[in-house]
Amino acid sequence: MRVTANTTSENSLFYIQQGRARLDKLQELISSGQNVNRPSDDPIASNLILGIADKIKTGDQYKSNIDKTQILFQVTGTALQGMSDTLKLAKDLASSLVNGTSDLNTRTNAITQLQALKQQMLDMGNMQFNDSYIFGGANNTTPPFSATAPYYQNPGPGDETALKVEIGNATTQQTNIPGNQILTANTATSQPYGTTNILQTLDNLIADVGSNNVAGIVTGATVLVAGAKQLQNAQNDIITRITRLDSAAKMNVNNKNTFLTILGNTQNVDYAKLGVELTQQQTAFNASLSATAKITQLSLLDFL
Amino acid sequence: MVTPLTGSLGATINLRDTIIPGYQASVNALASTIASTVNTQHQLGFDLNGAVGIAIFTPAVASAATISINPLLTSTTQIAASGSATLKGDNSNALKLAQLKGTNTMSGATTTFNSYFNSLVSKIGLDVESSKNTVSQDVAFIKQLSALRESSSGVSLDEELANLIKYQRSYQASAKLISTASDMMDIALNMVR
Repeated sequence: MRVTANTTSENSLFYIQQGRARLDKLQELISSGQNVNRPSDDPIASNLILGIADKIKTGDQYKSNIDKTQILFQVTGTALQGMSDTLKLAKDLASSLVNGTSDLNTRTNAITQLQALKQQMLDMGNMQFNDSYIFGGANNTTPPFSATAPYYQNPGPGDETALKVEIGNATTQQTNIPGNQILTANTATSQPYGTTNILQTLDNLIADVGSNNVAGIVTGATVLVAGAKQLQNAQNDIITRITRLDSAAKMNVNNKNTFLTILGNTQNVDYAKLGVELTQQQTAFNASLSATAKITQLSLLDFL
Repeated sequence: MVTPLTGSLGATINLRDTIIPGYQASVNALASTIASTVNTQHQLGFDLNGAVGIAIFTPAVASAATISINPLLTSTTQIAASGSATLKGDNSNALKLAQLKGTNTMSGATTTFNSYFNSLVSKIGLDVESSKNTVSQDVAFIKQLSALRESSSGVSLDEELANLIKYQRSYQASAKLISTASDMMDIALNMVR
């Protein structure tokens, strides 16, 4: 096999180029800190990285949804607590009147108080959050409750739409409680908490106190107890929903951590390993340059 | 007209006429399906004014290069989030729009937008990686062939110099023979004198 100066020069250039390409690759990995800088670096890992990045972004959106819904539930819970407290006052007042009284002043005072309590109930039923009436179902741009029967949804028919939000992959959570299910439940299509029409009961009570209808007052006091139970059920439902959101949020965080770990394992470079490789490649490259320089200088002419 | 099928020109033409348009077709299919699916779902909903939703993207069958927001869509009140003309606060259509993300809409309803795009990226990556591998194999092969050619037809300076010295020596030897013969002839002639 004849080895010519051309052969040596081509070989040297080829291997010097390969060495430089390896150094260049190492330099890229070290400076970017990423194993995959373009899809062709590792097509299979690219698919995985894109898929995981997408899942992380989706998870962030779920987190945002969960956070907003949590706030909404807290506001709803506060309103329900307010209603519950108000109803308790009404119940106490009714209990104090179950024996009837002929004193007009006492009755007038009771009526005024009951009317104020009913108004409080209506105000809380018409509570707004972010410009939406939280108990208005999907018809939430106008106050859902009015002072007279049928009370719910003014104007228009009552709306019981369940508003939902995505909190996980193909998992939704109802974000609202339609007002008629808690304050005018006997008119609601769906009655998950009870069947008491609290507002109607308060109005009946006001009328019965006015006419000193003892039997009516006794019935009203009993119905208000059922109404309190109804509100308690709604509060429990909100607590259950908050717990569900908490666990969804926790799972979301765990998922994100897992995804980040997988992403890190796939994408992050091992600096220690690269450092060792870089030193090796530098030594090899230096040796290659030095050997090339020495060999190309050699000629028989020098010895003649 | 010359249409090269191989070589650098053939490869460039193939890239221009077949490979890149293939990728473009995939991206266009994605853009077009996103536009039509989102439009269809949006048009099933109702906006804040109770009007039926209008197309979000235009044109309806868009290519990735021309997809754009419908110029008629000028206000957020035109987003058809509600599933009912009378219920402004309803979000069922918005929820359905969001759920399109996880719906199998691409490749004959077998894969999601994201998976389709990820597969496309992966496919391009594989194509490039395979081309790079072919190039590096070819370069090594060419190097091997040129070493073989060089070995049979190349000029080795060492070899030629060695030959040079060999011929020089042989020339010197021949000259020496002639000069010796001449010397001998001189001696012989002097003997006669």
